[in-house]
Amino acid sequence: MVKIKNIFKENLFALILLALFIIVPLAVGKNADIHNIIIYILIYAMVGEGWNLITGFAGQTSFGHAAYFGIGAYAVAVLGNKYDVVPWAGMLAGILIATTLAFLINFQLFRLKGHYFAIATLAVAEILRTLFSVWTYVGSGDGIKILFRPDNKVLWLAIDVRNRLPFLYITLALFVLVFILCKSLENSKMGFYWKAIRESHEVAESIGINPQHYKVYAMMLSAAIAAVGGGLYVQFFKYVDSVVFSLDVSMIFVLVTVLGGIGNVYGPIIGSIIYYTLDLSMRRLFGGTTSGINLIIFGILLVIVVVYQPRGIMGIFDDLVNRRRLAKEKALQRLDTGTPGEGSGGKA
Amino acid sequence: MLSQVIINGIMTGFVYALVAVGLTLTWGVMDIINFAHGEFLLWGMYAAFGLWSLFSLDPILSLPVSAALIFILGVFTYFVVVKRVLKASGLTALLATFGLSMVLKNLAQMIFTANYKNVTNTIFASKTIKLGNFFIRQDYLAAAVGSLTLTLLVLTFINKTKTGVAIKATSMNRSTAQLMGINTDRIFAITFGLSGACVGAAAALMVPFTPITPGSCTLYSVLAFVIVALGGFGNITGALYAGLLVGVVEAMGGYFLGTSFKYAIIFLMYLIVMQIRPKGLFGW
Repeated sequence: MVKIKNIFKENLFALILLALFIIVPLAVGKNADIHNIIIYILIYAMVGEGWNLITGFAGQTSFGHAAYFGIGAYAVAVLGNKYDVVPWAGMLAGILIATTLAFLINFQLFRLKGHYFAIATLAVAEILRTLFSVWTYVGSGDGIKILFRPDNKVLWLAIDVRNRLPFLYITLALFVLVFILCKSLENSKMGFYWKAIRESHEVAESIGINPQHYKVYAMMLSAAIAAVGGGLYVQFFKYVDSVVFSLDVSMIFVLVTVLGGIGNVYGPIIGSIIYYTLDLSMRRLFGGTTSGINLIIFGILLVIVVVYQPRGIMGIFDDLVNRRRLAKEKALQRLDTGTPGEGSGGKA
Repeated sequence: MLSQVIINGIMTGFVYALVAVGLTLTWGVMDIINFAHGEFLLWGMYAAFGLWSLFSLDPILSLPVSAALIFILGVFTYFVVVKRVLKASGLTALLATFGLSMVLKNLAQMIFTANYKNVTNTIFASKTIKLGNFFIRQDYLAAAVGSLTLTLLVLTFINKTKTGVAIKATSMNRSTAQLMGINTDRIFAITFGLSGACVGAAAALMVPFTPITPGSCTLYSVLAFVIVALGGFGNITGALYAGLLVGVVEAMGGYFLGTSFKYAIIFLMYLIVMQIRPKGLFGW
C-alpha cells in the first residue's frame, strides 16, 4: 500500500499531465483545432523523448532525427499505399528499418565526436531527402498519399476526419509507453552509462564502459521512437514527401526538447505543449494576415527562455521547487537551533 | 567540358570558402555554431539588393556597405544574444542562434516576401572571357577573385595584427587570454562582427548571379557547416581548401549525376572523408 502511494507521489506531475491529456480532449468537445494541436504535441513530444535519449542522456548531438522520423512515415505510407499493409504493421516495419539504419550508419559515425558528429547526422538526413525526392517508387517529388479505409477502423488506427478522438487516444497511449520506457531507461544501468559517456568519454572508457556500443544502443532506441512518431504523423496527415527529412523538421524535435528541458524526461512534453499552445494562440491572434509574425515572436521567446534558463522550462520549474525546499529547510533549521543570532553573540 | 565544369566549381568554391571562413571564425573562437549564419548571408544579399534597387548601386561597389551592415548585425547579435549564452552548454547557445535565425528569416519574408529577387544589369553580368577553350563568366570570376582576396585579407588580419593575434589567443585558451590582459568580451564582439562582414561581402559578390529568397538560407547554413567541419573547426585555411573542394565536388556531381544530386554528393563526401579524418581534413 505504501509502495503504491510512493509511486503515486513520485510521479504526481506525470499523472496530472496524463489526466489533463485525457480530460482536455473530451472537455473541448468537437473542437477539431484543439484536437489537432494535441495530436501534434504528442507526436513531436514523442520524437523529442527519443532525441533526448541520444542527445540529452548520451550527450551526442543529433541534427538528423528527421531521417528516422521520415523513414517511419514513408514505411507506413509506402506499405499502405502500394501493398495495403495496415499501418500497425507499417509502423513495425518502419521501426525495423529505422533501427537497422541507425545501427549501420552510426556504428561508423560514432567515431566522430561533438560537432563533427552533429554535422554528420545532418548530412545523413539531407542525403535521404535527396534520395526520396528523386526515387519514383516512393513518389519522388510529389510525395506519397495514404488512403483512408473506413471499413476497418481498428486496424486502420481509426482515423476519421470528423472525429479525431480515437486517434488522439491511440497517440496518447503510445506516448505514455514511450515516456515510461524513457523514464525507466533514465534510472537503469544503461541510463547511467549514457550519462557517464555524456560527462566524459574518457572516464567512461576507463571504468569499463564501451562508449561505442552504448551510444549505438541509444541511437537505435531513439531511431525506433522517432519512427513510431513518423508513422503516427503520416497517419494523421495522410501524405508525406521528402520535405519530412529536412533540417527544419529535425530542429522541431531539438526545439521542443531544449525548450522544455534537455536531459529531463518531462522536457519534450512540456516544451511541446508550450510550443504548440503558443503557435495556436499566435495564429488565432494574428490570423492569416502576416504568416511570419508568429514565428518571429516565437524566435524571440526562444532566445529569451534560452538566455534566462539554459535548462529550459523544467529548469525554471526545478529552481522554483528547490527554492521552496531550501526555504523550508532553513525554516526547520531555525526551529532546531532557535532564532539565529540570539545565542551566537553576533558582535565581531 | 569537364575542365570547364571544374573551373566553374572552383569559382563557386571560393565564394563558399568566404562564407565558411565567416562561420569558422565564430566556431573556432567561441565554440558556438551560429545557426543564423545563412540568415546573415540572406540579409547581406537583401542589403545589396536594396542598395541596387534604391540607388542603382552595383553590388560590387556597395560591397563595403553590405559588409559593414552585416558587421553591425554580427556585433549586435553578440551583445544581445550570444554574450548571454557563452557560459551555457553548446546546445543552448546553438538554440539561441536558432531562435535568432527564425526571427531574421521570417522578418525577411515579411519585408521582402518569399518571391525571388534578382539583381540584374550589373557591371560584369553575362559577359564572358574566352581563355583557350574555356569560357569564364565575368561575374563568377569577379566573385571568385573578390572572395579569395577577402579570405587572404582575413587570414592576414588574424596572423599579423594585434587584434588578430588576440583572437587567435582567445580561441586557444579563453582564460589564459584573459590573464594576458586581453578583453575577451571585445574580442568576441569583433570576431562576430568579422564573421558577419565576411558573409556580407560574400553576399554582395554572389548577388549578381544568385536569386534571393528567404527559403534558401537554410541550405547556405548547412553547406557552411559542412565546409567548416571538413576544414576543421576554427581553421581558416582549412575552410578555404574545403570550400574549393565542395565547390568542385558540387559542380562535378551536378554534371555527372544531375543537379538534384549535387548537394547529396557533398554530404556523402563529408561522411566518407570524416571516416578517414574524424577531425576534418585539416583539423588535428
